[in-house]
Amino acid sequence: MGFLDGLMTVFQIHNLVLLILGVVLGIIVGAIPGLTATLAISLLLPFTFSLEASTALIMLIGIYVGGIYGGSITAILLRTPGTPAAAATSLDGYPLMQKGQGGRALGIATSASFIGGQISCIFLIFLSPLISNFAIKFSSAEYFALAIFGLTIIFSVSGKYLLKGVIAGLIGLVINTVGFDVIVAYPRFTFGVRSLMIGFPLLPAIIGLFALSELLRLFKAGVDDDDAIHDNVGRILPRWPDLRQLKWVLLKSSLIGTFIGALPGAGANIASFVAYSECKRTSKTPELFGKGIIEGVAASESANNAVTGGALIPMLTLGVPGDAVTAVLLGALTIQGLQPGPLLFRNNPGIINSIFVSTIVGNIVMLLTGLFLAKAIAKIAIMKKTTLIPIIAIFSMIGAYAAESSLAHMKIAVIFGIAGYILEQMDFPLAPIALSIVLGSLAENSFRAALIRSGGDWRIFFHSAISVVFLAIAAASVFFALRNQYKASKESQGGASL
Amino acid sequence: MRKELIKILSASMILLLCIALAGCGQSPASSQGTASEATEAVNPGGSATEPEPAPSLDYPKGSITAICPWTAGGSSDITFRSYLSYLSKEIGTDINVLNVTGGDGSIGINQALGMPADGYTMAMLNYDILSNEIKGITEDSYKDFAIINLFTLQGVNLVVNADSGWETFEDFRQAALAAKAAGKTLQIGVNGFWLHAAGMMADAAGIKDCVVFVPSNGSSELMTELLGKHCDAVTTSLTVALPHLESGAMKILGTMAEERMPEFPDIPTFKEMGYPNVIIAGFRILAVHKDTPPEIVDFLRQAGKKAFDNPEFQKWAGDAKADPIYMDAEETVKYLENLAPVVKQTMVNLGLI
Amino acid sequence: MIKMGKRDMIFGGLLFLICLLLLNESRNFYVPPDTVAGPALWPRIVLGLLAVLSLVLMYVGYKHIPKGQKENQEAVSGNQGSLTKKWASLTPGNKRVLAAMLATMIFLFLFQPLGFIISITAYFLVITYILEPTKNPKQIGFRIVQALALTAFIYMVFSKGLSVRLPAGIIPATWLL
Repeated sequence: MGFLDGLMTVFQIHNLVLLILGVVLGIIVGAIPGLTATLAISLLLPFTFSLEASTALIMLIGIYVGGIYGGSITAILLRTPGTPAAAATSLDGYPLMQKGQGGRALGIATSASFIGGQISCIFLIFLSPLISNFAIKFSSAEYFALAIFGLTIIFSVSGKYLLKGVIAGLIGLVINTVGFDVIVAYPRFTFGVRSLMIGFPLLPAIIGLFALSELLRLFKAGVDDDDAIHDNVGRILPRWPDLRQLKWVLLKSSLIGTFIGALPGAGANIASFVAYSECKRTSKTPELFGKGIIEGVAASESANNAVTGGALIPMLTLGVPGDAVTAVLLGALTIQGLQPGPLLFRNNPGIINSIFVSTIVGNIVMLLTGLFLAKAIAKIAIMKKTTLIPIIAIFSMIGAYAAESSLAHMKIAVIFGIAGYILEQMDFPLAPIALSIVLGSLAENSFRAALIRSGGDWRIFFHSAISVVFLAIAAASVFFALRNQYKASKESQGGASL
Repeated sequence: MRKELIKILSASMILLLCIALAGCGQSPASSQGTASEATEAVNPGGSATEPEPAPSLDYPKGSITAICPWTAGGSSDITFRSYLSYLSKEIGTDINVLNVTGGDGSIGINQALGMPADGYTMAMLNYDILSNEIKGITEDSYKDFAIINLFTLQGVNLVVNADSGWETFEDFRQAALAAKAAGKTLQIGVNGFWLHAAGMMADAAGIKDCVVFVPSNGSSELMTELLGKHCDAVTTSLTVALPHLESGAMKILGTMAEERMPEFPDIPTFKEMGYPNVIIAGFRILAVHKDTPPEIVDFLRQAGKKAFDNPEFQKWAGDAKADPIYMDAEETVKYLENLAPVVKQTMVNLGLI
Repeated sequence: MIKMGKRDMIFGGLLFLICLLLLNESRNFYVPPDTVAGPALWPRIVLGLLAVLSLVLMYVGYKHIPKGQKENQEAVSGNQGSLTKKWASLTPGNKRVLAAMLATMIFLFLFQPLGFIISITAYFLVITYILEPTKNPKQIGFRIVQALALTAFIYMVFSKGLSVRLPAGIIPATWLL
């Protein structure tokens, strides 16, 4: 019965209009490099102050669903992930675009997002309590194991430049230690420079590494060879055989996304990379990953949108946000005078049900607008490069500036752009840097918290089954990566295995 | 060329649509917020009850920026924004919140002090304004500000699981001593300045060697740590723990506030339990640069008091358990002057300086 | 030109030196007494690993230097050349990259003082010119229109739509309100 009430609430005309607006707005903001769903929701939060609680939440959920998806459009068309969560999508989406299959990639991304979102909704609705119980089993040691497991993905995204990939990952971890140490609240590696105290925040770093460095590469290529960005986006509506071929990838990645979303502290950024790497690990043709394969796009996109439902689970059942966006949503609940947590189910079932329904309906709206709007946004991508490159450059830099109206953030984006360009010219992959900036503080803080907890006893990392499993998978993937590397270098006999 | 123009125009249309949508997104909010519109329309003209500012006071002419040194969406940010929305009605101009984060709040404070002292930049001061100065991370001090007023004061509580078997703080203390005797320790989850609270408490109760302070990544992670029984207790604010307290999963053994909490009149303060020095609270203070013209500061202080007394703010803050407490500038400075040496001593005891 | 292997060797060496510098700096971190995991622990582990791997990179780079060059370490003769000579020796692509980097740096410095309207418009025109130099007045006029349109968008989206405060600079703020 409650579910029907939820339907009634969402299908009230003003709620439905706001939901659609929220999704479309989310897609657009998500597609603009530098603006994440978190930012969109935080910036819109003041507007929801005076809205009714359920209306405000319906709109915010719409922005959330749309925002996570929107990043994939620019990730595919421009290799400029609109949000960090779409970074993994660009690994294969952009090569597909270069091959003239941009429309196919977009269609796959859109339907994968839809499927991921819906599968996670099912979990959200039916398995909330179960997943939440599992999530509270995580403590510092388990989080550390999870972070290490995540970091070993570096070994599978670095391709043939294994050594350089690992170095890049470590550079990312070092970058992460600059700034304030949250545990004792002391500045590290700032050398007395105040502006270094903010460290290197994720958003400008990602914009620099993924957007600005790519622009510099385009500067080098020049505008003469106009085939770098194809005019031909093609048909977006996905073809049935493609989807049938992807069904297991979609299912598995959606499950991964839901699970990671439900873990507090790990969000869409991590989920897309984990699903991507898991898909590559189990693929029969791992060598095709990174060169434009639809499995890669599907894995990343279904996982990052599956996070939406997953992340809502601990937020609604425990009052613990599953990722940064739900942390802000949690704030929105508080603004409305609602207490998130176990009591929410008992006291405000109406709110819970309208959240459920708006997640489902929001995903449908996202699918429809995605298939329709992606082509319109694609128009930006097929503008002349001479116009397009400056526009992206300016949007990226203003995007880096926008979050805190901070010139320092813009400077960081530029520094990362230039450094990223130089590193890429030297065959260093950039994805590991981004990955370790994302995972670095989780790894460090939980590592230290676990050691403080155990009084310095390192065996704490092997006490629980969860951490042992994660660490074992991590160790195995390092081992296999090294073995493949060794085999490859033996075969080439030149030792040309940098 | 023409083709290019068409493409650019169509791209422009999309962006325009986006802006239009953003505008639509706001309009229902503002149309429902009739109260705010009405006040905004009326106030600049000056309402009858309000003492007219001196005729020479040509303030505020434009919108004001308020710097929040913490990220958007956090509890400090939300409370600050809410309070400012009522302040904005009182002074009849927009107040835009700018989140300038990093350096444990010191970056935002520093930026606020770097702006012209003309009353168009406000800042929120928190506990960190004391601890950062004591640590020597920054030279900026609350003394560099003209305090408008303090608007929330949240006591820190010692929270344990409901099924822990501990009924009072004395039970907890005995358990800690017993753990020590057995060669073990109790684990207290902390986050940010709640570490100071936990340290102060353990020191006063003589169980410093019996407990370990386990850091966490955020106040919500602190809750899972306790729910998952990875910690024996946590020190935290009421806002964070309230849902779990109401559901019966957790309970408070004691509060480090000055007086008992109105929501939980049965929970004793540490002061009552014989630890008179264990008083620590997170505060939120509105301030402007100390060189701001005194007539503007006076104007803001009057408006600040009115905004605080606004029943809508009181209702909001009560519902959100933000612990609304008002202290005028003089009281606030006295409070901070008394607190600073206590904070310093706690940090010395914890080995933080 | 620096060869592949040599470049890696230089980078590895540089990275190693940076690691040493940062490891040295980590000794200055404040470490609370009797702590088991202070602020320096994690950076030291990471820097230690990175230092070792940068040495490995140096070694691998060394192995990749063609035999003939190993003795002739001063192969990088460009060091003594004047800046103009170096500039002339660059490929057009690299020239564009350096010019774009320079333009972006200047943009960063002028964004605040000049304000977003002038700086974004000028930056757009400069980097379009770097990408595709032109003297055709019609095309230049078209680009100016584009630049102004873009600036207007940025203003609408960020300043109006998302209430981000963009620096007004030398154009008075009242003009924007």
